[in-house]
Amino acid sequence: MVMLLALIGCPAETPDSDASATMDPVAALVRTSLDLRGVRPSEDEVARVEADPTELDLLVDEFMDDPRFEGRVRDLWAEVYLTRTEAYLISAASYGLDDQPAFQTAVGDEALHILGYIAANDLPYTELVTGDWTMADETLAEIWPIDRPRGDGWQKSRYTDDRPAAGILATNSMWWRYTSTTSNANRKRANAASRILLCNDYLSRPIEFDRNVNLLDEEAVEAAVQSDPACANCHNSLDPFAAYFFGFWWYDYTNPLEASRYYPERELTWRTYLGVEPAFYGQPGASLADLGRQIAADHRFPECATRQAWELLLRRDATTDDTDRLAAHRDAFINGGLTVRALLRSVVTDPAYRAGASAEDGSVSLKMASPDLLATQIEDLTGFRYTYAGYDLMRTDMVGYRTLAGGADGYNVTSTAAGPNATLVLVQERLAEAAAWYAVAPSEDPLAAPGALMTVDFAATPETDRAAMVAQIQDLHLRIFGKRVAADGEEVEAALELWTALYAVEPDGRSAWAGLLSALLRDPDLLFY
Amino acid sequence: MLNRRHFLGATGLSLATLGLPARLAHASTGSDLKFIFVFAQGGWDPTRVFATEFGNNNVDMEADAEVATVGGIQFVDHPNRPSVRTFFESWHDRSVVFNGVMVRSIAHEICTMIAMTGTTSGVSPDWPAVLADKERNAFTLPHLVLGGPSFPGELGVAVARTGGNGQLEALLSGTAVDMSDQYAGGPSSPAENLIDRWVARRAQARSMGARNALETALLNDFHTATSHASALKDLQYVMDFSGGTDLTDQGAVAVEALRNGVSRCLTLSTGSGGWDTHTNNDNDQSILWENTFNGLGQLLNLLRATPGSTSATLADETVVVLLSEMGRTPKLNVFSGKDHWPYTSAMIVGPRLTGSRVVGGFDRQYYGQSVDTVSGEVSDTGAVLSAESIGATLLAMADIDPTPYVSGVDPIMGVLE
Repeated sequence: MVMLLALIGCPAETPDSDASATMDPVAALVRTSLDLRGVRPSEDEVARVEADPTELDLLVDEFMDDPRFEGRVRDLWAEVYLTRTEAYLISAASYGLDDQPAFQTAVGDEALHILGYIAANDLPYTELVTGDWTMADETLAEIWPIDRPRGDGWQKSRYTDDRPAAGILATNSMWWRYTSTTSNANRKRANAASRILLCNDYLSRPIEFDRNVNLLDEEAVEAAVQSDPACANCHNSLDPFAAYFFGFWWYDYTNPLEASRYYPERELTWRTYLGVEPAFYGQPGASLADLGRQIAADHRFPECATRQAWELLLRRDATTDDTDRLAAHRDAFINGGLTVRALLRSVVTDPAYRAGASAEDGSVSLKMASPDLLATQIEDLTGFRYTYAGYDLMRTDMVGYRTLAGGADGYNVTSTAAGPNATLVLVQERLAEAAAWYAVAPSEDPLAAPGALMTVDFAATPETDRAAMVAQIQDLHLRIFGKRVAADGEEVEAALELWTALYAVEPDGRSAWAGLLSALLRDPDLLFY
Repeated sequence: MLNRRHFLGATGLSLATLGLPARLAHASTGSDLKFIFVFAQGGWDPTRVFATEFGNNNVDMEADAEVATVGGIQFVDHPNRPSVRTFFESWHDRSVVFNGVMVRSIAHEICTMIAMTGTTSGVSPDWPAVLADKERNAFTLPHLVLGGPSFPGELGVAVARTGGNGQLEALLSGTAVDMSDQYAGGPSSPAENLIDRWVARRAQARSMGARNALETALLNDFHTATSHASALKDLQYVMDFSGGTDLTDQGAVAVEALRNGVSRCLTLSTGSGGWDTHTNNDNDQSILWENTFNGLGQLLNLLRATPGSTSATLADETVVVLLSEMGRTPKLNVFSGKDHWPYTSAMIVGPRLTGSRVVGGFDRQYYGQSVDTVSGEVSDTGAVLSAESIGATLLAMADIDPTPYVSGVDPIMGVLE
């Protein structure tokens, strides 16, 4: 087989072919680096782990000290919050702004930035629902009643409209994303909070509509909601939960003046629309601040975060077989002061996270990168950021490719793909091409990347300086895949063959290197890790 | 000005002229059927077309609407919706309307999942994905999603979206590289071909290095996806994948995809208008229904005008399924809107059906009536129609045993020829 593959110009899989119960340390390094900071490990980091595999545990902490850790936490939990959408009912133009991409990103990321800040600054996770602050960039500070300190980008800020201290529960972005109608009476919002913070999705429960209840009779429906077991099973807890959200009861979601504020005077509007007092599973309360404290004290709150971290990092649903592991990670989370760092450290050092190919069922020896992770690792390697007219093409859908690359938009596609398809392969290809040509662009070009990935003299050919070209190919394999390949190995030979073929059709070293680099960035080992 | 689709049509380019593989013609069976799903997102109001509840004082009907019958299909006729009558006059004999279909929820996300998959798990593949996957080796893009929801589940490799603004076209043509704020160039066509072949070989080699079932599935799917992507690049010279958001435009792309043997299943949306009419129900729904039936009529006419692969025309081998995730309350609310309702309607149009027929119905409370699954007739001893029974019926039409997908639910065999 090896001979056959060599003949067709591609190396067989040999370095990791042995199916072990434990992942190769460098493969585990690559996985951890990607999951915690969205980029591949440096050559130095690979060397450290090669020399001493126990270094990986030290690197885990270093990765979480990396400034990119915060963004990675945002990207991971974006799949849970589903706030990165283009379906908001108010646009930048409604506020007299021109920059719709910046507006959209700012609104969609407010709650995620709160989580990211908590993670990066080792604040207790309970701040997520009890904090009296938000995060805001220049756009949010301009459009919403927010007091934001000077400085560029996202800053810890405060709303100035007397909204309760309730972390993400008191953010505009959450309730722009999760709207309500008169008849829904904030139940959708309550369910969103329940799903995101407690992993209790009321909507996932089968509903049996009792044919003896006349759904046409409002009084009969109200009575059934409270007393009919089929209805009351959910509504007894959901409706009081929903009653907390009436400070965000906007009469016109399309009016920026109306929907930018919190209305303390509307908190009691539950009397009109629900007729049920605010409470959290039987514990009464008055405001979102009470709800935040009640959620923070609920045992499901840390359990849910643990489950989410586990599922997001293993890219599979938790099962009953995971119960003991989840309990251990929850304990590590709690004992670590409820910091996101303690939770993620516990998960990424779990043997199941580093399981090899022959590990037991439920192990994930290979998983697929999400669209944002594909983008961040290629940006780190090449300096190329895939945007157009300001839109982040890997995080949007109207002009971008998120759902085509396997991502979720929260509406038409509700979960991130676990496996590839044709459009994902095409997105990876075009991203790789754009990035590769950017990486080799002349340094005098004002758009050029620093060129750290490519050090070879583009004038070199196999005839004039084969050694330098071989060294460059070895560097690329180390930097992109974390693999050391031999100077006379199949990988180098196959790469040189491609370079030569490309040079033959277009005798330009820069283009040939760009072509080779794009091929490597299209490799399955860039997508799977 | 000719766009590429018109140009391709005018020049008569086809798979055959490009030397691309086409499916061999053979007798029509369930496995030969193609499917187009048209999804009305937001929850339609069946009382505007399907639910003729004029004698039911629990239901608010339009004052200027009246009941009409074409063939065996009784429907709501309204002067503002002439396309409905026109459609049934042309297609009643191939149409089966299902009334009183229960969706078990009144939340958009969950109802959509139930309507398309029969479950609320979020991981179960939807009907088109299952249908497409059964014939995945015969098609480049077994299930192509031009609009609307998609739940590929574990069958993701068989499913692809086009994007609503020409994204798939941009990816195929390479303009996706040009359209970047940091554009610095891209490969020439010959270079791209070389790189494609190199990557394809690499994908093949890597799939051979898989070490367990999970890796085998992922790497084989990558290899397959690479092949599909390559075939799609060839197809960009045959057809235009830019469907936009309009049902008529999406329908034209869908027919091209079927004609060229690209896909077995397609999912379309009825358009960008919102069916979620909590306010101004009558006016908004009327416009949406008219546009939908206008687009549907054009789609069916186009299918009838296009040669099929195993039948005289594509209309003879294509099943069109019209769905919405939920119905709307029978009574108008104080905002002249209608809210969410757990019973709705659906319609299937195509071959292998005992057409010109309405199955099921609504009772006085506007709940779904029970149906005998063998005959399709209303029966007190039958079962309420459900999204699962519609799905099971579609699978049965394609000669797929529905049991693994909708356990405990029978297809409505009475509507199948």
